[in-house]
Amino acid sequence: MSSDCLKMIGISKRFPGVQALDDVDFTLKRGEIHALVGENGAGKSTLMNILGGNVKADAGYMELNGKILDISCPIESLNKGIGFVHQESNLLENLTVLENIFLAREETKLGILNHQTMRDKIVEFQSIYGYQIDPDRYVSSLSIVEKQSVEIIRALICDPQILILDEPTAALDSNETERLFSILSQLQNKGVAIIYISHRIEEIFKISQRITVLKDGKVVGVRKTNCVDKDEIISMMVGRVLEDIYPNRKNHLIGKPVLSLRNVSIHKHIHEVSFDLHEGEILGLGGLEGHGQRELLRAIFGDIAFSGGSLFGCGNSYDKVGMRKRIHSGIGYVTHDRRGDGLFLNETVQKNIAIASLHLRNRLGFIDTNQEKKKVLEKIEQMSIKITDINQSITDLSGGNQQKVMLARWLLINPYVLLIDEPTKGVDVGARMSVYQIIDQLTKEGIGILLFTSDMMELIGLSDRILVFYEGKISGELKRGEATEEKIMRAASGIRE
Amino acid sequence: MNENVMREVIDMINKRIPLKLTLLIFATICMVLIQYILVPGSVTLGQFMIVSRQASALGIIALGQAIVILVGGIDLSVGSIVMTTNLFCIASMRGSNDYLLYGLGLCFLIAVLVGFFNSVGILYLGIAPFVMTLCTMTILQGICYVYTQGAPTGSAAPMIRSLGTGYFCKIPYSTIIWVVLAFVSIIILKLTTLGRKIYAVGGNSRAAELSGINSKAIITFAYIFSAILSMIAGVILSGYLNISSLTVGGDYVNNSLAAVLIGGNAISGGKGGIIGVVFGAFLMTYLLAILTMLGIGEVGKLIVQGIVIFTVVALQGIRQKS
Repeated sequence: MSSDCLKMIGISKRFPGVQALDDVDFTLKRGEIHALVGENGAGKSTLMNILGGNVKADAGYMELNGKILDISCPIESLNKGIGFVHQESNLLENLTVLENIFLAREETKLGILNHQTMRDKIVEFQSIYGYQIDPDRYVSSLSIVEKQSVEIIRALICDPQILILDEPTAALDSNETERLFSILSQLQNKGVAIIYISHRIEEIFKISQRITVLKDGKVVGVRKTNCVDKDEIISMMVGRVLEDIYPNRKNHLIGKPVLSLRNVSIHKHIHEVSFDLHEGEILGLGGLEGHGQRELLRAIFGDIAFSGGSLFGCGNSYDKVGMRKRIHSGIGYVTHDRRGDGLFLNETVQKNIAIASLHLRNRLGFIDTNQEKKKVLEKIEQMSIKITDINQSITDLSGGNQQKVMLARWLLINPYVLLIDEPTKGVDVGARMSVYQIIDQLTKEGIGILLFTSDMMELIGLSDRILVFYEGKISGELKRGEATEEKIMRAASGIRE
Repeated sequence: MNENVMREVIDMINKRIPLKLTLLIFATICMVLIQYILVPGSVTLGQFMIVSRQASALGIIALGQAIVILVGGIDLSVGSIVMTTNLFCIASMRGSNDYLLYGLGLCFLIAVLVGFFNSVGILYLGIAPFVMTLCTMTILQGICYVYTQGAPTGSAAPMIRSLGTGYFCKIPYSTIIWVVLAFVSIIILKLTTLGRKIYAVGGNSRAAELSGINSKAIITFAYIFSAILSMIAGVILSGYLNISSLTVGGDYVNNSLAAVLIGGNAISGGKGGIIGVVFGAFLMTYLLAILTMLGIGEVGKLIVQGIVIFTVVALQGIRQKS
């Protein structure tokens, strides 16, 4: 019994500056767990967003149980039996659990909301799958794990035929992951087809029956999980050996400490953490997302306050110093949310690059525009940012070039420390290598780099040293060469060596 | 099919009109032609100067409004600042140059305080700019009514009067002030770090903050700048009218917003310039002058004005979309 319940044929999608999907075929059988893997930017999310009705394909068609499937919005997709659990929470914080679960498909009686029926359904559902969340709680009061449970309930409550899970275990510890897997196998037995997106190869081999590998918007191959091994999947994903992607830093020299943290705490996020960042070092913050790494970067930059401890470097104490002074002294911060709080989307390339270092070209309040142009062009050339004109709109650039613009912005302040949150988020594979080379080059000039990335391979490939965080504390420290995915995961789950 | 036609039209407009200013220049030429055809012989340089004098108060207010909108805010208190300035200017000067500096100083102080008050409410109490400046507007109006008890008195200093009515080489003083202030605004926006920061804060305030820009200081500057420009407009009007009136500020809120939008600036902030806003203020006033010449009544004027604003803003919108 191997009937295909879903076929996606010849799907293509182009975003400005990048071909996200190029003639992709994807099939899903009833009752199977089908893993979809690939690097960041390979096109997994785009493909699933087309199925989920968030994105419209440029070409290709879909069939559900032999009938042409035409989806124009997310709720239509849900009504046709496709449940989607997103990586990032899509819940409305100011509504209750119940209101979120039944959003846009409320049970009504003569046009009036029937809360009792909805509540009964949720309670019944929870008792089957072992969830315990009060339907009347506000989503804003839930933990990350609980929010994710609500997302899953929302996707499952009207018995979908297909369930899409995008990185469902990113925020879960090992117990919670196990519970999720047992739910998935229950669903599988009921005949639900599951599309499972994950970066964690071990998980995929544990639960899936088939694996589709995407790379640069194309299908590299479809394999039966029991006929393939991890190394083959990884080399299919990456397309080359790991050593070629990441810079060779074996003989790289690391200098004296440039930035020191002593017993620093951030309210609710970081507890009494101490470490040094050295000259020319790439120090990676590892662990699962949401364990304080992002907050730590922002607090070092001065965007949020430390609640205790001290921060100093290069002869400066930063304890009573705000963000602007820290920038002027040479600390830069590349945000993970480039389009949200990084770029000025209606400005030109030049203005985007120049904005953080205006103070260096300030002549009695006027901008020294000649020098600005010279400096900006210098960086554009140095980092080989592809532009047609310095006054081009920043939105014309691809994700990779936009990320280089962000780096260029901070290099113009002559930094000695660069804090990077997700160096290559939304950057396609080719451009990622050149971002890595730039980072490598910067360390050769003596800049210390502190980075956080949720991409495990990137963390291992790039860092000279990795500090793994668990619940706001350092739960493990690994040097280049000794770091493996397993060791990091163990430390990230709070298991000390 | 329909979409394609629409796209072609947009492309055509885009190719033909590379600058948004072209549209405004085109509109001005159209209006001159209309005036020439409907009221032959009335198109003279002198008439243009009179229109520019009438437009100057609105034009100056719109400059301030433009800067506030560029940082992502809105200032509804401009009209009531004009009214307050008018009142205090007339009342404090008592028709004598001896009290000139005293009167101007008082008005300046009031303007700075009002601008500061607006920014404190917006930045530190988290009140939306629309609501905050609406409150300020109402409070100022209330103060004016209480102060005058409904019957304002006094007259402007002679120097202020000549400022409002006099000419320099056939150019009205008030027009000169308007043009100078427009130049100052352009220089601030295009050449200084402050200007760069204004665009940055309006474009993405969080990103600006993370680039080391003190966005609170920039926003405070914008509201104080706007209040001071409204005050200058109020002084010029006082000289022109030589009386204080409790209805003088009325239309300036709507009209300054309209001038900014006609100029092609984005209401959401971070995008736009000053020259368009100067054109916007001039065009609105010019339109009213033509309608008056044609003997069209108040109601008719409003309708025509509304239609013209709608048309220009819609065309600007279509251009920006593509």
